Amino acid sequence: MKALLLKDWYILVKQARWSFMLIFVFIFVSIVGKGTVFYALIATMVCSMLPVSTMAYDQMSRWDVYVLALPFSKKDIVYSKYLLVLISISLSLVLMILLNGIVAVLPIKAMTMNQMGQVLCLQAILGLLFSAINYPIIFKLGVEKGRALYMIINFFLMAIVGALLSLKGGDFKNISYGTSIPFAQLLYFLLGALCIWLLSVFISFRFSNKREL
Amino acid sequence: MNAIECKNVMKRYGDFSLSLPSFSVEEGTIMGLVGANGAGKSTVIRLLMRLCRPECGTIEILGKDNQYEFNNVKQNIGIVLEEPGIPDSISTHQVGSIMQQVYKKWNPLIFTDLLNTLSLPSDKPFKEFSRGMKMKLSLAIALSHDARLLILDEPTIGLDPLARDEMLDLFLDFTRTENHTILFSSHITSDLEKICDQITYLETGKVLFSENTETLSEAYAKVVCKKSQLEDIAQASILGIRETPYCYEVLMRTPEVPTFLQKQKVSLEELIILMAKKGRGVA
Repeated sequence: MKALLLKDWYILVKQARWSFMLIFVFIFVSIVGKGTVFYALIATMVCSMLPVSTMAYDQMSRWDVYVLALPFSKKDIVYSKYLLVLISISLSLVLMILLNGIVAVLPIKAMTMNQMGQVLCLQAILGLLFSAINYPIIFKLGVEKGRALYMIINFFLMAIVGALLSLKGGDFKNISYGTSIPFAQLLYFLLGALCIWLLSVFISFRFSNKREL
Repeated sequence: MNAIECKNVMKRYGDFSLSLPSFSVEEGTIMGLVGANGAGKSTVIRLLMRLCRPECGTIEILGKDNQYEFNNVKQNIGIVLEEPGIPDSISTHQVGSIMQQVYKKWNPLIFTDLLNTLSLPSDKPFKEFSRGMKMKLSLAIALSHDARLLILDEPTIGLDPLARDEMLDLFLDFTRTENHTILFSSHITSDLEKICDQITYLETGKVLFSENTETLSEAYAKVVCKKSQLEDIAQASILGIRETPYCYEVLMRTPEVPTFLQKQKVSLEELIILMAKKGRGVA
């Protein structure tokens, strides 16, 4: 597993520098932009996409075949990608906390602890749901074929989330200030997202096991 | 003991079907797998490494069924695939760091030695490698973790004659250790003749022969004859035939050559060409 993550790290360092830059900028803007949570969520989505990028590179270089001739099973491959997304999301949360800490000592208004907790929860929920929905599609169809389908699904997912938020009379800005969704409720959502994510790991494994390269 | 043993294995891909009723590679030997494009060589290797599943049959690698706990067995297998499969942006040095985490018996000193022997740079990304260099790096990986079995799919493709020769020497060095075995697919029959103890010829998914290299030239013979003589040869004993402007070249099992015809030695390349020509309906 460590080898698979190390390989992904080498690829990301070379190929995804712009993604790292984007994550940093979006999180920074989210903090200094008077609590606009939208950018933090975009940063988390970019984090969730990082393992998809590695899967695309794996497929392009035929690593996806070679790795199965090494002492790894399909289960190891699936687990490593899910572990990678967990690490990516966690890093975006850590970056959020660190940048907010830095901003707090500057003469710029940083988020309060409560706001920060809510934003972190929302980031984690989105990151988990995004990977939970998209990864099984990719493990079933491959990155190329899966890409179109998951873009459509994500478009509808974002539209539904946007519509629900509008119905509640909130907007992205308000969420960050803690007026729309209570923190305790967010924790329940996070738990639900985690359950869906775990179910997704199982489904991805089933798909990957059936798929012949 | 057999390092590889397949029994009643069958695999279908659309119209193509590969059938291996009985196929084995004895431990300590080099087996060459030869056949035209699409004959099923890569499918055999994919089945052995469980990259695809057979419709039926059993495959044992190093004495273990490859359906169960195969990861432990793969620790003892060095693999070179037709497409090396190493990501383009990764350098040779990084490949070493990754493989150190993959193989329990990875030896960085042997890897570095092989990189030097094969004149491979340690800091260049894989995308800057030529096809030959990519194959060499794959082989260096396969040879750096004390494998007992090497499975190589077209490892000498894209290599110049000198590099091919170096690689063949490495294979021979590898099999100097008693229980080391190689299964090696190639189009280059001279490479196979040079190092293989046994040759298996595949055509459209079927094994046409699997023979010891030394006895192969004795088992088969070529006869050159005119059309009138051709009619006197039993059709069933003709294994392959090629028409030239002046005569016919006929491949037969040596004991079946009629006394009125002169036997000629047949090289592996001729053997394969003659068999393939019959398969394509020339006879």
